[in-house]
Amino acid sequence: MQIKRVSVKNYRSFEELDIALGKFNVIVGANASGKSNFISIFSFIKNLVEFGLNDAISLVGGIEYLRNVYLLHNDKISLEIEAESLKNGLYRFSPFKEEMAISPKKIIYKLELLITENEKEYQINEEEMKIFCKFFKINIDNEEMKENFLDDGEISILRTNGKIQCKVSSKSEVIDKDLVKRLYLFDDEKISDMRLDPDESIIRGRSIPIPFISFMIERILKGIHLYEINPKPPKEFSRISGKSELEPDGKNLILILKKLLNDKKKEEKLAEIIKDFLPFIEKISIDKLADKYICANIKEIFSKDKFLPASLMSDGTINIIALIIILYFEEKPIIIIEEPEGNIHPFLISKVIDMMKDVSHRMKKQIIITTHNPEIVKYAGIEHLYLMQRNNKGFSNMVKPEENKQVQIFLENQMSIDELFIQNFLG
Amino acid sequence: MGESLEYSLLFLFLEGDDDERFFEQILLERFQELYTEVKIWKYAKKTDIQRKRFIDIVNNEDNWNYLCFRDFDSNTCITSKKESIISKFDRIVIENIFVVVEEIESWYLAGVDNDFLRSIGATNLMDCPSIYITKEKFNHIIPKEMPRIQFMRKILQSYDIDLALTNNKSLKYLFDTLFSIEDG
Ligand SMILES: Nc1ncnc2c1ncn2[C@@H]1O[C@H](COP(=O)(O)OP(=O)(O)OP(=O)(O)O)[C@@H](O)[C@H]1O
Ligand SMILES: [Mg+2]
Repeated sequence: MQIKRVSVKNYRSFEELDIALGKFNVIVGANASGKSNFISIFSFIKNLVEFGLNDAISLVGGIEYLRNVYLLHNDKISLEIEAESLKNGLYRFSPFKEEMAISPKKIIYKLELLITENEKEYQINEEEMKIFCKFFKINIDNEEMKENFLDDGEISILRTNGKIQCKVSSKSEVIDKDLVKRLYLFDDEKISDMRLDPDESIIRGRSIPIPFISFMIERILKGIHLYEINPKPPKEFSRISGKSELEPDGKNLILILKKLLNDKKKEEKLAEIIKDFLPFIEKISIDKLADKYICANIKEIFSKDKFLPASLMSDGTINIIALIIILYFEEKPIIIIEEPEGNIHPFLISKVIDMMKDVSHRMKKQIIITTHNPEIVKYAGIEHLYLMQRNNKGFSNMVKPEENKQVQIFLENQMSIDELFIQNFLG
Repeated sequence: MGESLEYSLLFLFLEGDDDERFFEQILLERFQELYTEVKIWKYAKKTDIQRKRFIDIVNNEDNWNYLCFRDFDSNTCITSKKESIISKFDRIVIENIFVVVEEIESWYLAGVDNDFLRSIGATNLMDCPSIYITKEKFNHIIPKEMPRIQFMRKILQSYDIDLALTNNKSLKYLFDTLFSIEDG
């Protein structure tokens, strides 16, 4: 899955934003232009899926700062995200005795919050999940599963004022109302009877009709992963237990490394890439210290047998290792990294970008990064750039420098992108 | 406002941050009355090739224009200064060059009087007219504890443009040439 489009209204520094995204997206812009606000849309959605609306809102600092502080007359905050499937994943389900499957092509999730009295209360005003998909019927012949294509269609769940409506439609109406009933054991009447709490999202609402739709959307949105690496914590002793995926700030990097190094193939893959960046690193090993602690050690080619503790590792070394792990070892379909250039020498940046392009283009993961680094801008290429700007009212907006006439003229005349970037001529 | 038939874009070629600060606060609005869009191009660390290329690009576009501002520094006369700029910038048109006499710091000082400077703690106010101030002399009058940026911003906040025009001929020349004040 890949996020194709994001739009928000009255969200943080945005009055209105509607932007299409690609496989590899590099967001630049002045300090406080709104890059991190943009990234926060994704963490908000991810938190909404993982922890529910109330927690998602408190995690971003409360409803009063989720909305734009200059648009107080506007009591609605809205957010919409569109994702597209790159693979032909099949989701199977069995209404009655029939085996059916859908293959989602595109999903849309929309949320509109209404801020009620005293500015601190809120409720969900409207919410919608839409899936554009292919319908299949599954036949099993001699233990062999075969899917027969039925039709293209669309499933939507709309919630207005707490009421829920569910619609299934298909192009040639092969999938008819009757099938809806058979699929979900609900008829239209019953469906519209369903009610949710004003702050309960349909994504998390287990009680809603067609639960597997929620499940599917949930899975897709959970595929979003955000990182902003801090190289300091991995230099300390790490606990032996912890999350099995890399934390957003990378603080459990050593634990993740330990797991990778236990696997010969992964160890080799990691070592090769690290050596390409930092040829003097010969080996990394993880030692168990006391009961609950581990520590990384690193051997450089300059010595036969001396290992150096992680506390002596350079910041850039940790940043590079974390990046390699995020890109090639954490199997996340949507990777968002804030300022990945941290502590990395400009000379190595082209290689970082090569990895990102490899992962986004060949391995079909989506990458979104923010940066202030001219080398990243240069190597990413104009087609992947987005510029965040604030207008004279203070609202952020995001534009594609590629579409800017002036930028085109400069580029045609041999000025380089990084030159334009440094000069502030991208917008 | 809206779609203008005569779109025009002006690049101000400025040396560095002190020039940019001065232009943004004191002159930018005036340029914006003359052009649809005004952008600043800082040339200080650019190579000769980059400068030449940039001027070529601007020259080539119909509605693009540029004005180059350069400190007078140690050169003996404005014409020879302009010539030295031409040698650095290649292809630059002489009419588009403005020389800042003596340096941008003199444009700062031109808009305030000594009483004001004293009131913000300036020291070593010398007897030589502000027009001849150099970077070194300017730094010498900044109050010891005050950051240079703050000192410059304080000056710009109390800037009296009329006073500046009487104090500094090169600034007056710019105004007369570009913003010709009709009711003067
Ligand atoms: N609720 C809000 N309403 C209005 N403006 C907001 C709101 N929340 C944040 N902002 C604005 O957004 C700015 C911060 O933007 P953000 O953190 O996205 O910047 P950035 O582009 O990531 O900058 P940097 O490169 O420095 O990290 C704040 O300075 C503030 O002006
Ligand atoms: Mg930021």
